[in-house]
Amino acid sequence: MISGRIAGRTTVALLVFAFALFYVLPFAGLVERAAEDGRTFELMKSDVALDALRLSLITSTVATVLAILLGTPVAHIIARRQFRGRSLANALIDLPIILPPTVAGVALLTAFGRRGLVGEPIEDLLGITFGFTTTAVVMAQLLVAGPFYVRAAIAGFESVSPDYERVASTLGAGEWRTFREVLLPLARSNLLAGIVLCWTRAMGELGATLLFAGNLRGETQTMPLAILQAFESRDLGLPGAIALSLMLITVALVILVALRLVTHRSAYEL
Amino acid sequence: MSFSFDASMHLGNFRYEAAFAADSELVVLFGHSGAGKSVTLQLFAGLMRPERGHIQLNGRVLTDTTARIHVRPPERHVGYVVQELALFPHMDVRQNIAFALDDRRGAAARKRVDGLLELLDLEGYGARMPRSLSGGQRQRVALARALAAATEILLLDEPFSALDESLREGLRGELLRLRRELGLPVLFVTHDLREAHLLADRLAIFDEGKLLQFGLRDDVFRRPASPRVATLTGVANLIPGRVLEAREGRLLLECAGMRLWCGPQPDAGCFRAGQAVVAAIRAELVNFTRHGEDHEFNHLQARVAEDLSYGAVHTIRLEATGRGPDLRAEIAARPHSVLGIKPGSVWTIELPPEDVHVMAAEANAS
Amino acid sequence: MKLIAAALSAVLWAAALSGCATNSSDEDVTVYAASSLTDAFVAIGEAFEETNPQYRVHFNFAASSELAVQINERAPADVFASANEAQMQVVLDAGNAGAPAVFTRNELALAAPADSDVVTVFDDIAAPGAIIVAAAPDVPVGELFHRAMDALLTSGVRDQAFLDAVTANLASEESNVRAVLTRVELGEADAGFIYATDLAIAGDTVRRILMPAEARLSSAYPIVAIGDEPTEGATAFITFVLSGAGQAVLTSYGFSQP
Repeated sequence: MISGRIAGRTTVALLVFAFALFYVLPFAGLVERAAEDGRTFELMKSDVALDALRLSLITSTVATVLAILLGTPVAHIIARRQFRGRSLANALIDLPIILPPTVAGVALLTAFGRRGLVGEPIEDLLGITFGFTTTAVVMAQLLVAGPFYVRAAIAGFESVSPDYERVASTLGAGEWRTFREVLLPLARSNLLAGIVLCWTRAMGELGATLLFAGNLRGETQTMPLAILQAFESRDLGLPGAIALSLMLITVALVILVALRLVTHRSAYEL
Repeated sequence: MSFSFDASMHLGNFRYEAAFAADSELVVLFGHSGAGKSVTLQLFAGLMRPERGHIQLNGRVLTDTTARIHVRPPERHVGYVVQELALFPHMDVRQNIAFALDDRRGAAARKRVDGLLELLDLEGYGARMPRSLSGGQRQRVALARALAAATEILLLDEPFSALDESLREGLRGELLRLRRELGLPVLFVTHDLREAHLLADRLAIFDEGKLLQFGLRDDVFRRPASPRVATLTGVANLIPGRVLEAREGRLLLECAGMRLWCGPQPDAGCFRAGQAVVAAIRAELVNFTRHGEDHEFNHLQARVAEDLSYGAVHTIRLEATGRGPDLRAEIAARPHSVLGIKPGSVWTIELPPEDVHVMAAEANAS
Repeated sequence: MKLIAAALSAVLWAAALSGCATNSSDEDVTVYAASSLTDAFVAIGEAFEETNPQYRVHFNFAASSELAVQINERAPADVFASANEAQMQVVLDAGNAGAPAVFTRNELALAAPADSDVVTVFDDIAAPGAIIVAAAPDVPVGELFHRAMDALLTSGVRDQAFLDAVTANLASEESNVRAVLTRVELGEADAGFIYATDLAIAGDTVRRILMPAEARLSSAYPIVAIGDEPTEGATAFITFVLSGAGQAVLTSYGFSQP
């Protein structure tokens, strides 16, 4: 009986240890290599690295803001209304989460490429092309990362009892005021989690960007693309890839921790 | 202050239908869960739209399906309180109450909130967050919030059902006091018969989406419109019988071999001799008499088959020894001991004519 | 720490990148080859196994730069066929191979979508608004492109303004030559710099734009056996590639003689 419990605990401890080891080792490897290589800091300050970091921060932030603006109403409708095709809409939102980002890249090409479904008429009418532009980077990130926000927002809205909105409306609050002052604050922690997920996913987006937006420093070369290129290049090579990876990890960690702190400070129990 | 309500719609498997009107009274909507009580409140608050209906409050038309009128909930001036209260957890008590005010920051708002805090015995709790309040305090905050705007009617959906019985007693008293002070009509949903009896001026009995009976509390309790209403309102004795004679507002029945005079009953003229009927008599109106006189009418001999004590009252199952039906009786502890009722003892039981109510038998009576 | 990290990464590379993590026995020959060699080497591999049935050839096709990094990280390669000498040098500098031999050459080519009229002659790549795609400078075909542009300038055939205009039109630096070709095939780019071999296998959707003689550079493809003591299979494979049979296959795929 007691020995069985000890065996159980030992198994759990071993599993936890194995998982932790597997989780920590790759990062330990990164840090060890970076520390060993005297050029790491210099590489981090290089124009390639700074350009990529700036572009990544800007595009992922824009993509996240767009995901919030476009995704919140969608999430609200799916969470609160019953309509024909609701489950289909739900499934469509999950699609980019399940598919590899390269599929999203191909899909974007077929839709917004110069020979694409809407890309061709848009170029004919307005003379605008999306490919190889920063806009294309944002589009790729929005398609791949946006669903993470929408999914979290749906869960957030569904977690709030409709009673709150009903009562608010009988208290004289219109739909917008009810949404702003009641539903948003109550769904807040889910929404913030969704924003973090979306933002970090956008920061890490590689496949769709590479396929749809291409790769040019300062225009479309985000951190993941720069890391890939550094890895393949003679000048930067693996040390460059390591330096850029460490930068990305550091920035992501700082923002994640900052957001956690903000979320925790204003958390209230229900 | 007055309102009228009339609405019908499909609701899941059955059809919702209700129509009633009242002045500044406390109307208790009573029935099992899913009977249509909460739907009535939501229709009144404008949170649901009926297929056909007309709802009016103090002369204002809130809903009129033929005129295509549907006033939106924010403009209805109804104070709606749900069972879970839905106090906004991210706002303090003051902010919760002020939520309903147009200008939430001004001096007028401050005064209004102060007044409501005082009215509901919540002085000093304005800055507290809802989660730090007791159950009873939360109830009072919800009521204060519902009253804050220019509320013309209170819609209370089982507001006390999540509380301890002791707290409920106090809050019921508080509600009655509020109603007297404010003079507002109140629609109060409950499935607790005692609560319904205590609070109601008028009673609306709901079952499977339909309003079965609406009237003054005592009328509904004493003269249920159907055996179903009688069952729902806790009438313990429903005795099938047959009309022998109808005379001057009184009816003579034959029930299980016993002759029973009933009435006076206003609708006695609707019955004819030979008709199958159901006689209803509440358990607490069944009389035990010491002198075993065997009258021809309204009396029978019965043995005490079961005697359960609930402290203040005893519920007793009686088995007829001769003619007449088996009965359930309720008797207070004091007369119980004075009479010396014991299991197995035989008593002469009287069913007073004025306490027996006669209804037409229903094919589907349950 | 370093030992653990190195071991772990080596295992990961082997599992993830070679596709089939088999024990290195005498019968197996693992060839790391530039992606531009994909079709030709698959054909050569089949011919090689036919004449040398004791061997089984496994390929890992990727950008030469990627392969060089993997080999230096101890990936289990027996042979490395690079699309340029620079990436071969990366492996040589790390002391991971002996003397390489140039086995074939690949010529730079300019491709445009067949149905596009933006780029019809070479000078159109400097026209304002044209979308030009090349491979990144560290990719052999990208390096070839940059060398060709330099050659145009030093030989006086085109001026600096032409080069600046082309640079301004450069919309993307792809990580491999197939990506450049796909851009052109999809019509996303108005023109792209690829290898003659890629043009040879591309369909009707792309057409070749003639380049000035000064820009028609080719890159040498060196091949080498990995390690201090090459396996017999590695040596046999390299010999086969350099033989008449191997060269015939390469020529049929658009490569030029070394």
